[in-house]
Amino acid sequence: MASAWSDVEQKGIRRSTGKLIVPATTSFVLAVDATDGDPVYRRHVIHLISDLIQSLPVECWSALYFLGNRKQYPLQDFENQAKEWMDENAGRVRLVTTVFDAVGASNGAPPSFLIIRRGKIHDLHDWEETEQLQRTIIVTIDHENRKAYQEVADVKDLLNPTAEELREACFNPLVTITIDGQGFMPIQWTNEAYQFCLTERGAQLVAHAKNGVGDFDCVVSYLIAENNEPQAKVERAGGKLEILPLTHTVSSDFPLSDRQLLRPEEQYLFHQAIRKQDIHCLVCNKPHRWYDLWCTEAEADFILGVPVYPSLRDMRGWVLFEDTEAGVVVSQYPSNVLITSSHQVYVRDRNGLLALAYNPAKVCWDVVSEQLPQYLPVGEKQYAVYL
Amino acid sequence: MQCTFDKMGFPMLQIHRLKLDIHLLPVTKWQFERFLEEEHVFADSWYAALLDLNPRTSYRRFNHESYCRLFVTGILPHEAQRYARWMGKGYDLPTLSEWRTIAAHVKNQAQSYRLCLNPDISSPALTILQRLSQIKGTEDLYQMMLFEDGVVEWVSGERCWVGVGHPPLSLHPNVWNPFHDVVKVHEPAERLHYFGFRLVRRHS
Repeated sequence: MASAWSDVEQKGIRRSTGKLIVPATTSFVLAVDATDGDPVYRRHVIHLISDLIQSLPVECWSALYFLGNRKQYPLQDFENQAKEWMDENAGRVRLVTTVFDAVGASNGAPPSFLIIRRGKIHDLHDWEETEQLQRTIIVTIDHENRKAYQEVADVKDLLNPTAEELREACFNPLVTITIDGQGFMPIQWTNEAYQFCLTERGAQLVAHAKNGVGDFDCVVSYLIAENNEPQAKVERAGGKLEILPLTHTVSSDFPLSDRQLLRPEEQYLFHQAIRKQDIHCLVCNKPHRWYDLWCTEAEADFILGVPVYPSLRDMRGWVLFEDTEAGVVVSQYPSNVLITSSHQVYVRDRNGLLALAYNPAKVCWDVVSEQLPQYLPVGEKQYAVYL
Repeated sequence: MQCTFDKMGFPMLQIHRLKLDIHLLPVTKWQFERFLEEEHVFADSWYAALLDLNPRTSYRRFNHESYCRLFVTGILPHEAQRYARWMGKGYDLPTLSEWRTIAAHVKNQAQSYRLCLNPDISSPALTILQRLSQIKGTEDLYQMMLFEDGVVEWVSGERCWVGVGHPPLSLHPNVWNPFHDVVKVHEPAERLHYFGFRLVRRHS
């Protein structure tokens, strides 16, 4: 198993490890127009923003700016200091470049922008057809002159929204995260929210968010076609798809669980099974076929049954058996994708156990066998079973 | 000739003979807006009035008809000097004599503006120069510096501020020859839509 990577490079695939950080919801940089000194406008804006800050999760906010000012303000103090800050920024030239530039170099998922304004933003058209503007919501608080402010086309804009309408526009929870790529094959990953899926597009890791919440950050060790990178497609309730890269991180094997010596009667059962001799079940004390891994007769509490090896009761997924001089030891393999050679893996999908081999000509993984033995030889005196 | 850059990554040409550097282009609105953000000495209404005279165009999208809208115009000399002070030590508006000496010097050199394309250039400056070269169909440094077909530029004359330059007819109909004519302003406080400026940086 340890030498499985020896000729990976020759097959046109490489192994790498990447880290994915998925913001729980769209994170907003808030840019406020404080130019206009009209007290009615100011009171309305302060009320609108305070309401928004209180009603959305804290992860929704990444920074606060005022139009035409490079200084970043602490958003958590908005309610207490809003009036003072509005005074400080009164009369400022309505410019947005500094806001877009300030967050341009930040790491991780790019934030969205929420601009609340009452006048024309002079430099907005510099950003036409940019990614930043595609992630921008412009809120105009003005009943009379809105048409004069429409500096750019194709930007999401709201005119005099209520607090509720604004909240709905900004809160954009997660629905699904899909990690895939050309020739992508996940080997191990740290977050159990992700499930391995084999689709027409190839191998994927997919996570579904319940109620838009959850932790979906993940470190993934994977194989991928040379000159390709995996990416995560993040679908949010708003419908827009975000593409997030996986940032390279130090490659390391995820540890196997502690190796555990089987009891003598279990070792006997194992040796019988690999010789394809029917076994005597240690759970129900009745005969079973050699390939049976589950006993459904003994304990009514377990609808699906329990493993015929009592020591494996708490193990699921791939379990490795190794016949050593000291006896038969077992360990839990830390992934649903079992890699046994440089370009071959075994997976379990809804159709059962499959053997997949990398096809460098087609830059994909082909199913090479659907008839796999229950005790899968994976090395000298090593077998894997899927529980 | 060699190129250096201001603090915003806009190119300046080194004129050793005069011991100064000069901006390759008149000051753009993009540059001036960085000053407006940092200093907060001019209000939005003030800037909006300037833009009414010569509307802003995106530095990513200007064309042959609109490139003069890239530059700050309608500004008065003392306001331009305020910008120069913000830019740093040695920055100033050029004298009429300096402006003409430099323009003549560059005209005789037949250099390409590409001498300014190095990693220190900022993205907006690079975008502007490349697009300007494309729409004007030239790489010639003199033409790219817009001593002609640019804005009329504020320079200090012998007794007062005067303008020099030859704007395109689309900006302001004229027959001025920048090497012989100066454009005098009768009302010192009048904002003229074709008057802009560029800076020099004098070596101490």
